[in-house]
Amino acid sequence: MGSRTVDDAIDQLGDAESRPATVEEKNGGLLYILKEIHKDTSATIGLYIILFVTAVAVFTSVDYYLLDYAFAERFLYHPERDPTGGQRLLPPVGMESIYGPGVIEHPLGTDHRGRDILTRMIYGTRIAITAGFAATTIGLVGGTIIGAVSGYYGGRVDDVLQRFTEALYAIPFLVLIIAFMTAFGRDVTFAMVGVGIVSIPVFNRLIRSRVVSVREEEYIAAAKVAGAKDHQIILYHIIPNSFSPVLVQATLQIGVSILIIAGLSFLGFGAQPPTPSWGQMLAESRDFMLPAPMYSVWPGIAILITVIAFNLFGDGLQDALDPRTEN
Amino acid sequence: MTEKPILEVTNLQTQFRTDDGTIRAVDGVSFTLHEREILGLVGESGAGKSVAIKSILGLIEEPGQIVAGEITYKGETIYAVEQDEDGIPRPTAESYTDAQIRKRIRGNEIAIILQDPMESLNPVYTIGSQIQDVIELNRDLRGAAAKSDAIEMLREVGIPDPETNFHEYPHEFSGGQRQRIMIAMALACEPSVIIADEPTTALDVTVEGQILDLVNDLKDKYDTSFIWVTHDMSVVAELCDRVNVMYLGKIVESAPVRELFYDTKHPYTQALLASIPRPDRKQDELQSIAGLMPSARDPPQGCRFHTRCPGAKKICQEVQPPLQALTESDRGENKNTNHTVSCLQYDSFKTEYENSEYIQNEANPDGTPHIQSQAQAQTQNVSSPAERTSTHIDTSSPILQLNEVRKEFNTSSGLFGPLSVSLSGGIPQIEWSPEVLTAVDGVSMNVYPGETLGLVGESGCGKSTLAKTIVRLLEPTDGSVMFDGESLSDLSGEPLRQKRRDIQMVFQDPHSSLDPRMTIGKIIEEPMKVNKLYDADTRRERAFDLLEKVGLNPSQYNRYPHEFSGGQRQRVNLARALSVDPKLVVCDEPVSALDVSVQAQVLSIMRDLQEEFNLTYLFISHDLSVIRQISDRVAVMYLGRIVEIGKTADVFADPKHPYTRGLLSSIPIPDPDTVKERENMVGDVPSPLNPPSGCHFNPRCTAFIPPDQYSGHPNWDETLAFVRAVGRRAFVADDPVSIHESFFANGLPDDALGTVISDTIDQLVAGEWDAAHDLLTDEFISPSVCTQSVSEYEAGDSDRVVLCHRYADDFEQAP
Repeated sequence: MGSRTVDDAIDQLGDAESRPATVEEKNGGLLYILKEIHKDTSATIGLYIILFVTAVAVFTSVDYYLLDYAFAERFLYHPERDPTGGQRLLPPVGMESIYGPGVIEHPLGTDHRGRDILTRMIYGTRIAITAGFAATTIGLVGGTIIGAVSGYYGGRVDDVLQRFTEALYAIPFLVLIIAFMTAFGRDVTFAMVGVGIVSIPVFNRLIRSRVVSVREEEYIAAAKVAGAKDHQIILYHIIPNSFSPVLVQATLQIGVSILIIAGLSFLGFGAQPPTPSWGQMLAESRDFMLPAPMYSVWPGIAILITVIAFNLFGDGLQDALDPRTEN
Repeated sequence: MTEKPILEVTNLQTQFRTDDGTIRAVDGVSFTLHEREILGLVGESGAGKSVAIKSILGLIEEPGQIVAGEITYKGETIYAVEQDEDGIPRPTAESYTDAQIRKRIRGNEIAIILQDPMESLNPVYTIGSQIQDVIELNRDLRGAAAKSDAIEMLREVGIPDPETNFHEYPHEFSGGQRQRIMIAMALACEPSVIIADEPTTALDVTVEGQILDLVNDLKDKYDTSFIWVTHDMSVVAELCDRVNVMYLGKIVESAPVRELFYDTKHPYTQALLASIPRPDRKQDELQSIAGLMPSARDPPQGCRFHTRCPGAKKICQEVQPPLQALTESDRGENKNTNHTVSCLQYDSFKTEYENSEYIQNEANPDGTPHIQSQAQAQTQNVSSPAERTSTHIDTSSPILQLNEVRKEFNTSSGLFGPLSVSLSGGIPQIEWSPEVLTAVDGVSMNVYPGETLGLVGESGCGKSTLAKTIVRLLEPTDGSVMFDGESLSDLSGEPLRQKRRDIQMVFQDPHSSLDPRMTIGKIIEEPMKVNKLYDADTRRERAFDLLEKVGLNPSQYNRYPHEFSGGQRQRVNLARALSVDPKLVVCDEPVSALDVSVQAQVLSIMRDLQEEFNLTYLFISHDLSVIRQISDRVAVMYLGRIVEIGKTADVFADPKHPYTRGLLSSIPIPDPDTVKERENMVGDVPSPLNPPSGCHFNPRCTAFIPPDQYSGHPNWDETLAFVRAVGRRAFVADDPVSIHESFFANGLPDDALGTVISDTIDQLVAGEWDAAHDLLTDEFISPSVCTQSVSEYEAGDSDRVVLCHRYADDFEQAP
C-alpha cells in the first residue's frame, strides 16, 4: 500500500522531473515485487499456500515418476492400489458412521475402496498443480504472441487474428474442451492443452490492449530508427512493457484452470482412475454423499484453498505491479 | 494595483508522507497578493509552485497535508494549522471546512486556470453549458440570464460568434481558444483572485502573446488579482507586477518585476536569468546552472541552493537564511520597494558570510571562488554558430536533399469510412471520398554536411511529420528524399538498413523515448546490436565512452531510465543516436520538455558533439530562441510548407515572410522594459484538413495583397480588417452606424469598394452573415494573387528563399 501513496504524492506534485528522485519504480525487479507483496498480508498468505502446495506437488511427482510410490508405501499408503482387507468409507478420526468409528491410521477416513483419503489428497496435488501451470502456460504463451503481433501490426493482421480468437470465445469452453478430448483422447494431458487453448483469448485481449498503447511510445520509434527488426521490437520492447497485467492474469488463471480441470475430472474427462486427482475424488464420492459425507468434503477443501490462494496472490501482485489500480 | 492585501499566505508548509520519506514540497512559503496585482510565482519544475497554489485552494489530498501555516483571504482566516496535544497538525477551529472552501472560496472568490486546455474542459458537455453551470453554481443567476451572461463572457475573451459557439463541444476549438474559454469560465463569477497554473505553457508563442494581451486587458476591467504560476521568465517580464522566485519549496527572492530583473540579488535568480536564451543577448553568453535540483525528500541543510551556488561558503551549509527585506546598503537605486531575499550575503549573517570559506560544489568544483566572474564560473558556454558558420559547412554537395516531399494521411477511419452517402434528392448518392490530411505539402530543401538546420513552426505545421518522413518512420506520399546522393525510396532490404544507420533521431519526450525496462547501457547499445556492429565487449566499451562524451558517468551504465532527470535522459538519447556513428541527426524538439537551465546544458553538449563527430543536425523546435542559439540556417514552416529559409542571422535580423515576421515579433523577451510590438496574427492556425487556397498563410496575413483593382486603395487596411471580422463574426451587428464607426471611422469612399461594404453592412444588419461573408470574399479575397497561387522567390542573396508574392520580381511595393 505504501507505494500507492508515493504515486499519489507524485500525481499531486505534478512534476515529472521530481519523479525519479522520489519513486522507486514498480519495475524494480522481482525483489521489489516480493517486498510489495510482503506488505499485503492476504497476498503473503496466498503466496505461502502456493509455495506449500507446489512443493507437495513436486515431491509427489518425484515419488510417482521416479520412486513408483515407494515413499508413499513406506510412510503412508499406496495412493492407487486397493488395500487388501481395508475398511471402506471410514469417517475421519473422532467421528462415527454406519461403517464404524474413525481410526487414527486414516485420519481423514477411507474411500469406497478402502484407500486412505489423506494420501490420495496429497497425491492429487500433482494433477491439480501440473494442470494449472501447464494450461496457463499454453494460454499465456499463445495469447501473448497472438496479442502482441496483432496489436503491434494492427490493420489486416489484427483483424484476422482477433476474429480467430473471437471464434474461440464464441464456443462454450466446456463443449470445446470435451470435443477436443473426444478427438484426441481422454488423457489428462489433452485436458491441460484444451484448457490452455481456451484461455488464449483472455491473454490475447489483455496484452493487445496494452500493446496498442505501448507501440505509440517514442522508444518504439527510436528502436525502428536504430534499425531494429519487427521481431526484435516485439520481443525486447513491446512484450516486456505490456507484460505486467498478463502476469497478474496468469496467476488468477492458474486458479481458474485448476477448477476447470477438477470439473473435467468430475465429468470423467480428466485424470482417469485410479490416478488420484481432486476432481475425480469428488466424482467418486458423489455416490456416497449420504452415508459418508466427509468423503466429498476433503477434496472440495483442497480445491477451495488452492484456488483462493492463487486469487489472493494475484490480487496482491496486481497491486504490487501497478499501485494505481485500486480505486 | 493598490497596496490593499487580498490574499495572505504565511509560513505555508505542505508535505507528502510516503514510505520512502517525507517530501517537503512547500516548506515555509509566505507571500501577499494585493488587489489588482499580478503576482508571478516562478521556478523550475519540482520547485513546489503547483503544490503551493493547490494548498491555497484546499486541493491537497492524501498523503499530502498542510502541516503549518495560515491563509488569509480578505482579512478572514480561511485556513490555519495548529498542533494538537500529540503534536499532530490540525486545522484550527476558525478554518473553513472543505465544504465551506468549496462553497465560498473556490470559483466565486478564487478561480483557477489550469495548464492543459485540452484536459480541463469536459469533452461531453458544450462549452456554453459548462460556463453556464459555473455561473449558476456560484451566482444568483439561473437559466436564460446565466446563459446570456455566459455568451457575454465568451465574447469578452474573444471567442468568435459566441451565440453559435455556445453550443459547440470543446474538441471543436483550438488550444488557444480553449484557454480563452477557460479564462471566460474563471472570470464568469467575477472572482477577486484568479490563480493561473502555467496557462500558456502548452500554447504556441503567437497564441501565448494573444492570451497575455487578453489577460492584461481583462485584469483592469474586472478588478482581478492574479497569481501567475510559470517557469517562463519572459511571461513574468511581460505580465507580472511582482515576482516570487521559488527554489525547492522555498521562496528565495521576492521583488517587483523591474527590480528582480535589473537588481537581481539571489544567486539562483541570477543563474536562472542568465540561462534564458534571449534575442538581445549575445549568443555566447547563454549559461546553465550547474548540477541538478536536489530532491525535496531530502533537501540540503542550510541554504538549499548551496549545492549549486557559485558563491556558496561554509556557512551556507549550516545556516538557513530567512527571507528578509534588503538593508539600505544592499540596495540599488530603488530604496523604497519591498524587495526580500533569502541569502546570507544580504543577511544579518553578512559578516560571518564574508569571513567564511568557499566550499566545493557543483558550481565550484575546485573550491575556488569565482564570485566576481560568475558568468564563467557557473556555466559551460554554448558557442555561437556565428563564429563557426563559414569554416565547417560545405555547401557544394548537400547531405540531405528533399524534393517536393509530400505526406498525406487518410483520416477517414474504418473499412467504409471514406464512403459518404448523400440522401438528398431521390436516389442516394454514394461517394468514395477519403478525407485527406496533408501534413507535409511539397517541401524542398537541402541540408549541407556539418551544418545545423533549424526547422521552426507552430504546433500542427507538419515539422514532426517531416522529421519522421526523413528518418523513414513514415513513407512519403510523393517526392523524394535523397541522402548522400542516393534516393532512400529506391533502396530496400539490407542497403536501406545500411543507409538508415547514417540518419539517427533524437526524440522529444525524455520520459517516453527510453524503454523503462532496459538499463541505459543496453539502450545505448541497442542500435549497435540490431545492426550487428561490433562484438559485445566493444559495444560495452563504446557505450562507456559515449556516456562520458555526453557528460554522464560510465558507472551509471546499469541504471534504469527512471533514475535519471529529464536532461540526463536526453543525454542518453543523444548517446544512443551517436552509437552507430551517424552522419545526420534529426532532433525533434530535443529540449522542449526541459527546464531552461537544463536546456542550455543539453544544447552545449550537442554543439560539442557536433564538432567532435562532424555531425549534421536537423534541429526541429517551436522555440525560436533555441533555434537561434543552435542553428546555422533556419527554415520556417507553416501548414506543411517551408515559407522562408535562410541564414539564421539574416532571418532573425530581417525576416521577409509576413509569417516569419509575426512569429519573430511574438518571441517573448525576458525584459520588463522592452515594449512589445506584436505583429498580431489574427486567429489560429487553420486545419490542415482543409487548408486555405493559394498561400496557406493568407487568412492571417497582415500583408495580404489586394486584388489589382484595389491595389493602393487608401481604405484597404480597414476593409481587410472588416472582412476578417465578418469571417469570425467578431462583433454584434444590430446597428449600421456603429459598424461604420468601428471599422470605417473616416467614412466610406464613394467607389466600388464603398458600395460593396455598404451592401454587406445592410446584409449583416439583416442577420445574413454567410451571404455577407461570401460577397466580401468574392470581391476582396478570391481575386487576390495570394489566394490563387503560391511560389518561391529568392529574396536578397541567393540562399534566402521566401514563399510570398511580395517578393516576386515584378512586385513593386515590397514592404
